[in-house]
Amino acid sequence: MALPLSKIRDLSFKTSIYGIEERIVLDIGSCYLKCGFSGEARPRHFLSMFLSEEALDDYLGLNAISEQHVGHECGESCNLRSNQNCRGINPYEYAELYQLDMMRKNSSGQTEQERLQILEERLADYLNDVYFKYLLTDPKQRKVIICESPLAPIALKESIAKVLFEKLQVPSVSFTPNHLLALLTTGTATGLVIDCGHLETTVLPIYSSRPLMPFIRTTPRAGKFLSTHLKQLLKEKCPISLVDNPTDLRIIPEGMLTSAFLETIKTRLLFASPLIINARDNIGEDEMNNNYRDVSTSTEVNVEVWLHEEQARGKLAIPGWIRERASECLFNGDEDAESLTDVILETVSKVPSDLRRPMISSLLLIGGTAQLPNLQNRLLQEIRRSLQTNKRWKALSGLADAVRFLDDFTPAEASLAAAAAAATSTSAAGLGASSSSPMDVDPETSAPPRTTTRDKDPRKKKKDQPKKVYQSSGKVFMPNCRGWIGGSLVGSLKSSGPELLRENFTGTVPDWSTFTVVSASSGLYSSQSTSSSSTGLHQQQQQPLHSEGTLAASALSISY
Amino acid sequence: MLAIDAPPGQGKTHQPFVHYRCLCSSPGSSATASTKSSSSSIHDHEADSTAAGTSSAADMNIDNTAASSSSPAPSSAGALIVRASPTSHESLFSEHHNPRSTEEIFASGNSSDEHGSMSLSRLYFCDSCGEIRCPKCTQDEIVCYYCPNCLFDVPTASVKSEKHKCSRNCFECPICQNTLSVVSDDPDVSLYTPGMTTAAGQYHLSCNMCQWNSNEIGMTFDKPTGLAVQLQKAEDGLPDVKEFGRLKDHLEKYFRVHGLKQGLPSSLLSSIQSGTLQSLRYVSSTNHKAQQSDDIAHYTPAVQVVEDTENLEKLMSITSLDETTSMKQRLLQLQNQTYSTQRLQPQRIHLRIKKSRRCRSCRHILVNPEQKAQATRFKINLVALNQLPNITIAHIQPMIVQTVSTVILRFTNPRQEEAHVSLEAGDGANPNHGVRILSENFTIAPFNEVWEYEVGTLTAPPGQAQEDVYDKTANSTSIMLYITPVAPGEVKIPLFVTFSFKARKLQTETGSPKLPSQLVLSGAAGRDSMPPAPEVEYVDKKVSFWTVIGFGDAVPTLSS
Repeated sequence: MALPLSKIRDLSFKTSIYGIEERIVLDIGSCYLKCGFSGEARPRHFLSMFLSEEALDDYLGLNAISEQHVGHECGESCNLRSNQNCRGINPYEYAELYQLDMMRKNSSGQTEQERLQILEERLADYLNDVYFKYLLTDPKQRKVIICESPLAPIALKESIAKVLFEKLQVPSVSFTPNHLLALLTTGTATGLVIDCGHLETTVLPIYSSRPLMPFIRTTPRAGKFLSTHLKQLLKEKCPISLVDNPTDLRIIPEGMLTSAFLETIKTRLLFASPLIINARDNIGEDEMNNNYRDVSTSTEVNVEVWLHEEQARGKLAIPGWIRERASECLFNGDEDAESLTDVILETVSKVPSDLRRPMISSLLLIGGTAQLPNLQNRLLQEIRRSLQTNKRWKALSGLADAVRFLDDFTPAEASLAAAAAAATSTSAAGLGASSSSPMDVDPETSAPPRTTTRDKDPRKKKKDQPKKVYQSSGKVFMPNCRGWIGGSLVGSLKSSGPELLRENFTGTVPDWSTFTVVSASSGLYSSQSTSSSSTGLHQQQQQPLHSEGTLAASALSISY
Repeated sequence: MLAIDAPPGQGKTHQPFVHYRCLCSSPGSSATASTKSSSSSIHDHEADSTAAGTSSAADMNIDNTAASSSSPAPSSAGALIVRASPTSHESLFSEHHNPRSTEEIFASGNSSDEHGSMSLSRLYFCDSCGEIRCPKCTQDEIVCYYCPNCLFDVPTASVKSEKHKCSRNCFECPICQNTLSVVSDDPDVSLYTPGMTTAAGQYHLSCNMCQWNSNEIGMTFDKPTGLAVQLQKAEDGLPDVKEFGRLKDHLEKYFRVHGLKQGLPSSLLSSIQSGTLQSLRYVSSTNHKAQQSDDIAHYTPAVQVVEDTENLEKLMSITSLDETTSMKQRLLQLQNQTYSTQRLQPQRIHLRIKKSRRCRSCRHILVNPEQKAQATRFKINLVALNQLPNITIAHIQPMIVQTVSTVILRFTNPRQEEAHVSLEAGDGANPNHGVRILSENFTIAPFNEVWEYEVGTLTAPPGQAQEDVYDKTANSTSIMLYITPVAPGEVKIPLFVTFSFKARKLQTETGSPKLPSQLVLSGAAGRDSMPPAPEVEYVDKKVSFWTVIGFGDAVPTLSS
């Protein structure tokens, strides 16, 4: 070789000035859309499908409301039909971009065809904005990487591809599994990825960069579930008092509890309580709520609202216990919707036994709902507690000491950090101690929750131990961006999932669940195989397509 | 009983509008889908029709001259929505474009469904296709980049490296996203002179809107210039960028090893043939030699970021919503998405682009602005407003079911040629309201700049007043319609407009789109009022399109 490898690498990584090498990385969720260029450490933009913040301020605040085009900046492609359908009757309502059951008829009687049409129009709007308002780049020049959830409806993928190819004319699109991408951002390729998003939580074990699809498990306990639960709590427990007459209490009008309102409360006020309270079997919900109230140490927050019917200001008092316990619904499961803990442990128990320990010692929590402060620590405690106390997981109880999140510190690091934190000790200990209540507080798990990770200033710490070799990078990336960052990483290495070229687009997209469809058009892959086979990422999906597509598909269907 | 005196703002009222329909959006399939959706929307209308009825005040006088100015300002009184559907013309020089026949157009758009319809100000008119084009059937292209704050053009070469943000002194407030200004602590120093020595950290950023000041977060500058560079450097030095770089190196090694290893795919294939799922099989063969090289090597992160646990304690003790950041503020700072308002940083202002627009079917440019950020002129400006008759509702009576109401529509001719218009009411509406057009064929006088200066009514040029129209002034003609609503709810009628005029014939046979009369510079400057030279040949041009006209809500008869 004439050049040392590192030189070649540097050259290949050099971002060109007019750079069309960088690909566009899109992570299209049902509530938020993340977009940016590959090779960058964070998405350029993170767009919300909720109301614009201004409109929300109007709503919470006291401004007169103009009903026209609330919720999105009215671009040129704004048209009445999509507006009405997106938001329903209430102009302050937003709609998720898609539902998981989008193939079915929904309550408002829209047929699948109509909904797809609306989806496409909205996607076209959003993606047009992405290119011409946010990324400011010509869609025809850059390839696109989509971070896809493995269980996203195929119709959604097809719509995305259709909009990108037909409206924007991008040269190629590759769908790459979100979980794997997120895992790569930790520098490893083995782990159990928990994507706690809006519509559902999916748990997928990945071994050596191969997603073990048959073991994927989901639960609806995710962001939307939390919103619904929060809505219920607010309605029942939080009356509005009029500012002019504080003794005059009103129930929150239904129309006020829009998704956007709930999202505001959720993202600004809620957190997961560091304290586990064991529910006794026969305890009623009300009693449990009382317990929560008694043990809560958080403050009440007043939110100013405008009561339309009364034409008066009101004050919505959200008590501390709701703020810390609303997320409790993610940890309390039932037959219909398993709790996060159960769905994780269920996955672990189903994987081959020699993989259980590697899996449970490399958990990775990603997704928007994972942004909830303290959720991860709480989940860790819950998993440990379940392993120790729950009979259902008795077979796994030996793994209790191995539970670890990839972005938490290893025990050794943790103790170092704890020592550092001891100096700058905060009031955290008071938190665990203050709970002398009638319930049974699990002493073991409620022990100062991860006080170990307390450290005020990471930079300061780095100075203290400049030569330290880290095991874990900690929370360097936000959980809701990890999937995107993985896409950016993979894109900067000139690899990705199987690429679908515009010339070859026939309306269908490759999906792991439809191998037969894909293998019919496998010629498409062979043209791509030179670029993507070098990745090693997708061989297990891609290679079988040529020869054994149907066989693999049948294997999959059996294992379900 | 009737909600005629219901307070405004209660319930949903429909404003009168005139929309032109662009048939690009699914002419065929929308016929079925649209019938369905329109019937369901009628349902909604019935539900709130009690509260409606107040909208159609008699003073719906939408001034035509305002609308004919080049800025697409929607009238506040009620949106005029005119939807352009396919238009065809049978001019000699564009036969090769296969214009759709009038009958075909008539069949495709005969419905009062508004889907795909827009106000005229949003639409374009492609000369070479002879059809209305909406934003969906046109394609955007980037012309130039500029900063919306300082209006400096940014050369394409530096756009990418500066991350599409202004590299001059333009910043936006992290709290309210307003523009920040650079101020000095010393009130006497109004201007910075390079030679002068100033105190270190004398300059800071300040928001005139919310009074935020960068001193609050300890951000000060020694010089009032070059701040953007400092900010961008700080952003690029954050831990996530470093970690990303490390990850890239790490994965690149891994991918490279894989690219060279040829044995891997075959081993995968053989595992499939044995009937197990490839990934499982592969995983369980732990002593497989490939395993070692297959998995990613151990990774050591470049940085270690400790979770900010202070966050949680703070969150537990807040008392108002304002103490946490809103989603919008958070999403502008993606590296940490902090909850604490103290940690928000000012952001550089995002660039914008000027766009040109092409017709998707014939690739001709419809709109092309001048390249300079500060110029507001267009090189090519084929907006529909300058080429199609502008329909406005000049007078309207309240709609009452089974009662004849009179409506006056005014047609304004923006062209410099006299135009003939013939109207036809569609019968595909649902419900099909009774419509009687008093004068179905009429002419409109050509546009003449002189008209703009004339005040008062002008009668039609002599010799042309024989038509039975309601009114004829300057370059507009008004006609009368009798509407008999058959059902309560919003009254919308489809109206088929055929517009014919004599256009100057092109010299070339290829049919360049730029007819002199249609190459309109922005403003009135392009409308050269020079009389056409007598030797110019004229051809008849005919354009047909659908409009949907809404007349507000119909109320039930008083007797019901």
